[in-house]
Amino acid sequence: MDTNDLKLLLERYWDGQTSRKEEDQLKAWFLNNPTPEGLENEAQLFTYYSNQGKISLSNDFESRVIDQLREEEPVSNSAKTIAFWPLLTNWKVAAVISGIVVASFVLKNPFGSSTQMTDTYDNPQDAYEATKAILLTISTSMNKGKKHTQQLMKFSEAQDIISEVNVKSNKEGS
Amino acid sequence: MDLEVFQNEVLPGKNKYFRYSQSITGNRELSEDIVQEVLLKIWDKRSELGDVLNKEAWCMRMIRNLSIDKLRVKANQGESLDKASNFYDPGPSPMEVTVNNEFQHSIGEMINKLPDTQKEIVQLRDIQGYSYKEISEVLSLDLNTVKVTLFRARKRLREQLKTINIYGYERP
Repeated sequence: MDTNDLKLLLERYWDGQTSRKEEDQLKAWFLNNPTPEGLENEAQLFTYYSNQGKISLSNDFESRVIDQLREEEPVSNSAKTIAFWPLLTNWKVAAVISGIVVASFVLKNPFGSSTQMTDTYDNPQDAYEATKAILLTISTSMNKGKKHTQQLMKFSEAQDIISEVNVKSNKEGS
Repeated sequence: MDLEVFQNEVLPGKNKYFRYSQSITGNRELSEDIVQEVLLKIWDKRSELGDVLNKEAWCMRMIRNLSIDKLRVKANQGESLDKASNFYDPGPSPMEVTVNNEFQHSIGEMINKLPDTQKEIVQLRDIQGYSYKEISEVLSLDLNTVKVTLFRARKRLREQLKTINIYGYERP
């Protein structure tokens, strides 16, 4: 850029017409070239802008901030604690689902099946009631399983209805 | 946002935040504290940063607000700030007073005497290199106001420069 181009660019700068790129060009030009006659003030101004742009924080500033943030990282320890709870919730859900599976196995043929577990109870109805009581006990001790407990109870109610229907139909058939 | 992202996306702007703060407070130590305080606040609010489109402008707004607040508190307490530390020291020996230093000091004085908004826009545009759009976000001004204010600031500086001789002193 020759002196004439420089003066034209400066006029545009004073009029607020220059882009950021052109303003960077002005700064760089005055830093790297001897000052043309009559432009000493502008040279000083752009040198001032360049120098001010070099002001920086002390070298250890960033490490001090990082150290301070890391000191607050007991948040990450409680994050580990918090992260444990989803796992515990998963175990609760797994336990409830297992209970549902066991209950459905027990309830599949409530009356007269030789494959039913009769080791503990001779009366399947008693076994059914006992199973339901156990599952309800498990679920009430697990807060997170409440939703699934409600589902289990609905399942249990459905089984009751089916059982009644089966009993009625057996009686009618006999 | 984890610490690594904070280091890569927020911390790199620290020197810009510092220069801007110092242009308001004129005090290096105070501005360093301000930048540290703002960075810690940003870390505390990191969950909200995902909603912020222009993080740097958001940080600069926090820097500006806290710098003005601290300056106001200091003024109310009757404390004067060492404004001399505002200027860049090119590093001459203590025994040497150079023509350049005097001129640079004069330019710093001229900019400091601009009306606040003009001074801030000169700082953000001519020193920090922000776009008009970024400046409008930091200062909560519309684009036209930013352009007009910058034009007025430069016009004022150009007139004042004519009053300074080559040695940095006002012409008689």
